[in-house]
Amino acid sequence: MPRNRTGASAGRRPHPAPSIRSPLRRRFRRGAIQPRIRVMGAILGTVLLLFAARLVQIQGFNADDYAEAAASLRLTTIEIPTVRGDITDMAGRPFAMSVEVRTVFLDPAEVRDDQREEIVQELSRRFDLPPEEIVAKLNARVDGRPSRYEVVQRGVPIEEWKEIRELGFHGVSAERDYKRVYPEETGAANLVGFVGLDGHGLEGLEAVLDSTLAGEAGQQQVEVGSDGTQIPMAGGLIREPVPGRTVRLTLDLDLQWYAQQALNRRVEELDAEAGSVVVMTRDGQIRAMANYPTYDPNNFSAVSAEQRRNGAVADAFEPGSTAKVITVAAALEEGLVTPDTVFTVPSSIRRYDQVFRDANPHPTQRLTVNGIMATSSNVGAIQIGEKVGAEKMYEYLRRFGVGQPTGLDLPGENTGILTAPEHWSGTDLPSVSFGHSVSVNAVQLASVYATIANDGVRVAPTLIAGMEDADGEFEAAPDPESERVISADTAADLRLMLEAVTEETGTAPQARVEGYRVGGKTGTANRINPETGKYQGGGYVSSFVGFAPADDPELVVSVVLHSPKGEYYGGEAATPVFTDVMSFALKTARIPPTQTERPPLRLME
Amino acid sequence: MAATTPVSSATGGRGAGARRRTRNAKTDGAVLSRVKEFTRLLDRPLTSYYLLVGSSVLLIVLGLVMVLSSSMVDSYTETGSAFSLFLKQAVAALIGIPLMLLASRLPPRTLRLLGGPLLLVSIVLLVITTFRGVEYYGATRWLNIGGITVQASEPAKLAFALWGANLLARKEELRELTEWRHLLVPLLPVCGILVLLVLMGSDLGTSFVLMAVLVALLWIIGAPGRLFFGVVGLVGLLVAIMIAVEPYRLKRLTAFLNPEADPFNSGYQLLHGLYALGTGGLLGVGIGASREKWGHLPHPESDFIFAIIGEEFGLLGTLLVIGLFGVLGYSGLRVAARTTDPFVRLSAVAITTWICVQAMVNIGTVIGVLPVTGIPLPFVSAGGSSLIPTMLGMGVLLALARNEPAARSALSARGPTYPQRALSWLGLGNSAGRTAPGADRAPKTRPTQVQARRNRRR
Repeated sequence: MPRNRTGASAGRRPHPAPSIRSPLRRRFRRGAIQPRIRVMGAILGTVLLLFAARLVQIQGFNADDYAEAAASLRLTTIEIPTVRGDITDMAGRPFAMSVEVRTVFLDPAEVRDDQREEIVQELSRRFDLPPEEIVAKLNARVDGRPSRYEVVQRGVPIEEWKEIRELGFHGVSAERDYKRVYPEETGAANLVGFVGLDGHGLEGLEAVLDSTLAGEAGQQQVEVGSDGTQIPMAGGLIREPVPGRTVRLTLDLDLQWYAQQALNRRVEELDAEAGSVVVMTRDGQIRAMANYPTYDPNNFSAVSAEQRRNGAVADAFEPGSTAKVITVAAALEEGLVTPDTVFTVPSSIRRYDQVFRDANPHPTQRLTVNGIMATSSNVGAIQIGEKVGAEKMYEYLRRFGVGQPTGLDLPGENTGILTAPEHWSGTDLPSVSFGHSVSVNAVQLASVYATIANDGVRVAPTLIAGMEDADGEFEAAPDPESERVISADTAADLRLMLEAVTEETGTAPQARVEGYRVGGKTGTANRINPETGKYQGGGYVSSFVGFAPADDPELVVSVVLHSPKGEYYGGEAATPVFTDVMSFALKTARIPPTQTERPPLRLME
Repeated sequence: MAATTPVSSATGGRGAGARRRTRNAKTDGAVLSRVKEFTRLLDRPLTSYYLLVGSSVLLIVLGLVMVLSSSMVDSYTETGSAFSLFLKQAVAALIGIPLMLLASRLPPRTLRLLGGPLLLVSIVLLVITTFRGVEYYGATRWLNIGGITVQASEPAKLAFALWGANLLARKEELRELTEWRHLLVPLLPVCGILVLLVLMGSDLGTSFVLMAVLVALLWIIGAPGRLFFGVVGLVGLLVAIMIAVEPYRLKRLTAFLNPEADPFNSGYQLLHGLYALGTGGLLGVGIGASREKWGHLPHPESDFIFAIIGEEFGLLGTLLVIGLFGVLGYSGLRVAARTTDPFVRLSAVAITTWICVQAMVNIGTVIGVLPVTGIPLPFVSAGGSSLIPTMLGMGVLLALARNEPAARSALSARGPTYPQRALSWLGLGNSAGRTAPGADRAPKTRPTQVQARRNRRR
């Protein structure tokens, strides 16, 4: 730089010769002051005007573009959780309900050092968590920066959160959430199912009815800071949350619980593999649907798929003797026999390559149709079935709902097997006549007896009474389909026959309920071994289906036990559960005791 | 405007009257007569003083409000109190106010003595900063003194302005300003040292302001035009050297031209500044309602506070700020134009240049017409190191405004105020060391009460 060089030379030569003047010694002409001040003012004014113009451009003409780009960075949509509808019994008592809870979380970046120790202690004590876990959450880092969101505990009751909040910890916050609660021991776990962590149904009715129960989460548009903090006063509600609708079932909570208890006791007593109890009104409304094994839906993660099965619809079995009513109903309805028609019934009968036997050997008897039913004679049933013929047999089975979907639309339903008669072999008609070579589930079986109880009109089974809005408005479920299967007279005849079963001479005298006339039928069928696909080693399916009061039936109870050890005849294995549940059901439903006597029936010639 | 405003003033009603007559002959528009009324209103002895007081007080108040608004989010996250940074700023303002008042009452004679020591202290602090400074955001500009971080380059600007003005004024009084060497030595080397020290802290903005002050001083003293071409060349050379030393600077220097090109790094702050301005639109989103301050715009309370003003108050607010600096600049230059004292003229121009150029560099950065330099908006941005020297500088400018010949006579007509009496008792007052006390007053007669009342109205 010239300044340095000439400056040095000026130092060395304090008195330079005028002829060689350094540039710094040169004289200059001074500019006038006032114009120069005006120039400065002009520069200042120009620059500020340019800036103002630029600002008009940014904040006036292009403002929307910038604002939009900025907003797109900040705007996010958050969901406003909505409350899931309850699942209740017919009286509104809950099988599943949602309670508002808090999810407690840490914002480690906000936690003050002097409160750290206290926070770790308090949270670990309160939620029973190891202190190290909370320390780890406090130290959690995301992309090298302290994390802003570490969930400590979900499903914290509001009251408990209030206690924590009062301690005044910085960086310990909570957000609203809903927790699904299943009141303990309702005994409806296999039917009701459960929701997953995301609050959506995973199993049972919770899954099937999810769209009704879930409602619609609301949406709120918020603007967030770079760290995700919600900016106050910005954004707005896009959609109000729509609360889910409560589903009212036809179930009775007490009865359901009682049925479950009775089933559990009996299954454990007999060391059975599984079992189910279905209680149904004569018009198809299911009052209870209990299953064994069951589980606690509040702790569903520890449960095997086997435990979660809703066996009442998911397990199909050969109904055995309980299906003889269909054979007899077909014969009566078609006018082929009367209740008093007499058959010669040997102990066994041969059809093609197969010998069909009655359960207990007996000398050849002359039995009326009543008698055949009361003693549950296979040979007699085969003879009646052969009068009916394959085509009619199939038709009646179908109309009674065998092999047809129950219409309950429950997950895993097994509609059973009913093959068309053109595929039947010679031994199939005899088999079908006494409830083999077809399979049903417990609800289908109960529905057959409900049809008889309902004077021959079959009403499709229902489970859902209706939906209830958040504001309490109830909308009943549409009426189920109904169809007359047999005449009222035939139904009445059948009821008398079935009542005879529970008398001293019948196969299930234990099925009587004090003060009521009861009709029903035992069933014992060979069970197909699920491992081999053959009857060998498969055990038995013991069942009892019945109704009461027999003169004007209100309720049907079906009990199915899979593979009970020891007592495998329906009469002995399943009947006690029937009696137990039926007597409780009658009392719960406040059905008055029977005032009539059964007219006498002729069982034998 | 009040047409009945008495126009006769100490600066000579006759001249004004003459101008009015000639203009009336040329135009007959009502607009022009309005403009005339306005210029006449401005043509009063204490105009500069009150315009300076008004604009600076408004800027300071706006600054405090905006520092609170823009810093509360970050303050809350960092310290748990939304007010922590605001309180610091308020304390700085509370320190600055008495300093400003005191400085505004000092006579030029005393002010001339301030520059040298202040410059010395600044240079020492800058040297210490260079070796012992604290580094934030990749720049070593801060010095930690007893828990308080001080930015030495801020008082250096005031010091250089005062010292430079005094230096040239003395040379002028000694009639030495005929040769280049008297003009440039020691002004240029000292400025060079300051710029160098400031650049050690990578503070391009402050060095630019220092050079602007130098140019303004030379310009006002009447240095020949070709010198300024030289200075421009020198600045260009310096910038080239800076870039050659650390090439990343070129990228930073040109990033402002297209912030969208690198929206997450070099263009990030600028882009979010523009977003804030755009979001504000014409009328703003309302005080306190800025969105960008929620962690999107880095340092919203310091270098980019103008963007937050624009977001919360809209175009209205930003134009107001521009206008306030315009008024401040106009008034500062008005002081310079009306004085005969070379020191008053030089220091008024130097301080005005300092504040206005700094404001322009800051605002220019935010609105994307200048590279990002990291320089506070005078009076407004958070930071005591910036606010206190700026307020002190404004105090000096006020003192100079009071020293305009017309203002001086108008003020003295009011009689001495209490602070003036206190100062004169300390031997620092306006008239303390004067050989002819009351030279500007009517020499023999004290102002009558009527006169005093009338003068007070001005």
